Amino acid sequence: MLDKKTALHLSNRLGFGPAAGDLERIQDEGVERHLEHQLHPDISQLPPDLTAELMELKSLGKGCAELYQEYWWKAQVSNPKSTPREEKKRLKGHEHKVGLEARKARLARAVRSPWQLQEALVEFWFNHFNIYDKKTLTRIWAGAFEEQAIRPHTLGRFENLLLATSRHPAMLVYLDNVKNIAPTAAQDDSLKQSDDEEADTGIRKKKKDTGINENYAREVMELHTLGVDGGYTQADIVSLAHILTGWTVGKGAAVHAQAAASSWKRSRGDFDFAARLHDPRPELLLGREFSGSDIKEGEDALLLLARHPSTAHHISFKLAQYFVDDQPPPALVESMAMQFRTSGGDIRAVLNTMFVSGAFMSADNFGKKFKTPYRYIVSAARAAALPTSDVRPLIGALTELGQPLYRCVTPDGYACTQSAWLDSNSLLHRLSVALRMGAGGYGSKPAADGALVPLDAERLLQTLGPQLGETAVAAVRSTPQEHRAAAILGSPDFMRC
Amino acid sequence: MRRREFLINAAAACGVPLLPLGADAWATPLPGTSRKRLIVIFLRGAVDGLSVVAPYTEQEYYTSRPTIALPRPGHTGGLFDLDGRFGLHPALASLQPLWKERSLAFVHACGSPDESRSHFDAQAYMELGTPGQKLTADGWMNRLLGTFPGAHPPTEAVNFGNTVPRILEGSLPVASIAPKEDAESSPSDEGTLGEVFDRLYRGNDAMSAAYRQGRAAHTQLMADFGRDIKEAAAGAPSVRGFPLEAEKLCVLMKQDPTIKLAFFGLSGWDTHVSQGAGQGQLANHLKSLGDGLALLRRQLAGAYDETVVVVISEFGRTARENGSGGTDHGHGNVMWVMGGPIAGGKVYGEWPGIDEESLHEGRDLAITTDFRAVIGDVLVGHMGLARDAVPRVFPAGPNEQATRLGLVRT
Repeated sequence: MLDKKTALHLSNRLGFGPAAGDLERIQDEGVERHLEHQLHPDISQLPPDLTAELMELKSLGKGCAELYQEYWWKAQVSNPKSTPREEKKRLKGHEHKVGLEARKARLARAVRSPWQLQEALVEFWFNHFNIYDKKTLTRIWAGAFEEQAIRPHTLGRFENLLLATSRHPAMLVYLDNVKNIAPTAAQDDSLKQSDDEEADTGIRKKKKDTGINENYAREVMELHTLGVDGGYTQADIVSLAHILTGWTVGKGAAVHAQAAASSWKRSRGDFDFAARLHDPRPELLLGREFSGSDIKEGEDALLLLARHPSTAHHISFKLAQYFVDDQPPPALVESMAMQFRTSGGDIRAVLNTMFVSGAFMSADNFGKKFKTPYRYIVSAARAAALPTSDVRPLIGALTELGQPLYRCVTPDGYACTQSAWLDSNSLLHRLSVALRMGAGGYGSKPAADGALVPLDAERLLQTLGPQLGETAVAAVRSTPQEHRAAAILGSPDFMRC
Repeated sequence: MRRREFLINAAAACGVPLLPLGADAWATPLPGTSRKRLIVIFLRGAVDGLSVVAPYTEQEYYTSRPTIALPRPGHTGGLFDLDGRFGLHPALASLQPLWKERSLAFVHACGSPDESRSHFDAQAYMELGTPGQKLTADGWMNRLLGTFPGAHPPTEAVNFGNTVPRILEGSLPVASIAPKEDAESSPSDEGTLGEVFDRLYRGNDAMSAAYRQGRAAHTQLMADFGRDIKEAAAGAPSVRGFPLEAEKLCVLMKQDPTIKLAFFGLSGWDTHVSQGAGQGQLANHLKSLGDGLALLRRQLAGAYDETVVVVISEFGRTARENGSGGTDHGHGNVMWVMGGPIAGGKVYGEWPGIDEESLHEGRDLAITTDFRAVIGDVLVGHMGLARDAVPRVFPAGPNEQATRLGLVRT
């Protein structure tokens, strides 16, 4: 039977650490079967009560156009400016539900899904293709981005993941490609948009939207594919921006003007390739010529990036940094990059190479990673079996610890390294979260009189197995009874995975 | 626990020698120690320097920026004339008195010699102080701490933010204050925290060290706040954002003369879309920044004469407006330098021009002054760093001659 320390390592690194009974289950499965299971999740198989909780989230699973139609408050009224204050407040409250439900869908599965690798990969890839959910329509689309562009592709081919993110309305808005239009089109007066009814949604062209915007083109090469040292130039960025002109949301402005209001309103929120806003002229990207008047030009360019050797290396490095070590061994990264190239960017194959490697499985690697706030909170919630019926305390804790969910402003996403997260003040905040959680302040069951009941320390120790070393266990046992659970969750041993 | 006990515990936990003084141990500078302070404000995302200090006498400024250029001085919503050549953004009106009293200066066409237009690389280079070198282990402000003589009290450097940024990373202690944190909303009560965790964090590892450092710094900061944060807050109930954080710094500095360095990272400057001109996104951010700086000037009162504030950003933005009423990543930028010791009222730096020929790669303001020269000049002229010690902070340059900009009054 598999030893408990290895079982703990698998639980900590493939997912967010053990919930009650997990270590024993992994011990029974053994390394090979556990990896096999986690690499082939049957995500339709979730605990029935979790499924029931997810089913209650009405906005979950809806497309961007539907979300726009049903939740975007300005889409609910004929004239936003003259909407009475009370009505506006009610509509904004309705709109706000989307973000809360998205967070709940994310956290409930991270805490309770048995497909832990899937949930770790959702965090990893969302972060890799980060969007920020306070920029106009991303407020209602961040969850849809995760559901549609990230979740289906976590273990698939990297190029499909890239293509799905590149055409997702949330990404197009977040990195401004909705504003990226052919300079030639911009000079055409018939395309000018006079109606500024919803200028602030960010998808409508305004009068001054008159040409190239480099933002997405730069970040897709720097962050999503090649990496900053991946061998591209400023000229490549400008070329790619031209190639991606016309990739936008809803219909192009001119089409809006000509179509019945009802028809564009329905299509608002869907990805749209607006041919009239696209620059068909030839462009040189990484030494290859691209031209054309349809979406294929951009897709081919993105495929070139996805299949580039620099991308294989960049993605492999990031995966190894997340799953193995802050400074992953170069030989491991190289063998993963090789697998990436030979398998056509098969993420599952690359992960498998990593997980079976000596670098990953070595006992020296156990407990070597410092948990990010996200990993810390989710792992604590799992160990403590916190209910997820109300995730607001968890959302608040993530914010307090500096990693608010869906709120990383910059496109590079949150770092996963110790140097980014371990500092004196952050640690104190983490410990005060541990104190509150240990005292029963995060939604665990209160006593009949409503008083908080501290978590059961002995059960926590049982669940976590070898997570806490002898010294920590001794220190916990010498702590007053009511603070023992907090001492466990705040112990240095629980900060690592 | 009383403040004195806090301090004794904090000092003991930190391994800092106890000072045989009264309750205001930290509040009394040791004889011979400097009260000079440096505040660094990093505008993350690359502020559009050509809008901050605009070259309004150049025709290209108007032709290349049809919707975002600011009107010439004297016109409605126009620039505030600085020197007959450059104008200050009208949203920075609260800084005009500082310019007039000559405690505010700018250095134009500044930046990092590295060509990167990646936010993340460029910020790293500027924070580490080693352009082109990403693997430098510590930030230049932490190395600067290392040049200060004597023991290092827990609040010698104060960072405003959730986590310690690279500019302050390193072996010497740094105190942090999370946004909105004050005496009322601090981490849990000290007693319980210590009771539960002191036993668990007494090793020699990085986490235990961080724990002890954090406890010491936190105790000190909260004690400083405790005295008059309420008073201060009552004085400015409507202040939010940066001015509020700046106000906190003033409270701390008043109470705690051991603070020598402070750092703020402010975001929201990456104006690819609709950056606006006299009004709009950029103007709103600038107003908040300007108001906060003016507040610092007012509230530091006499201490302003011993304080220098430097405002930097990773690179500038394109000379030409882009297709979305914004600007894309560029190269040269303007640095702001303010404080009692500054020889202000002057735009420093060699101006390269923004005509087609003069632009870096045909699109961006060129760089004529290395950002390290500006900081180096302040370190020597204001913080009392020996000129030959500048390489301890910036190991790879710039050369000594370059740092003689004369920004600090002698």
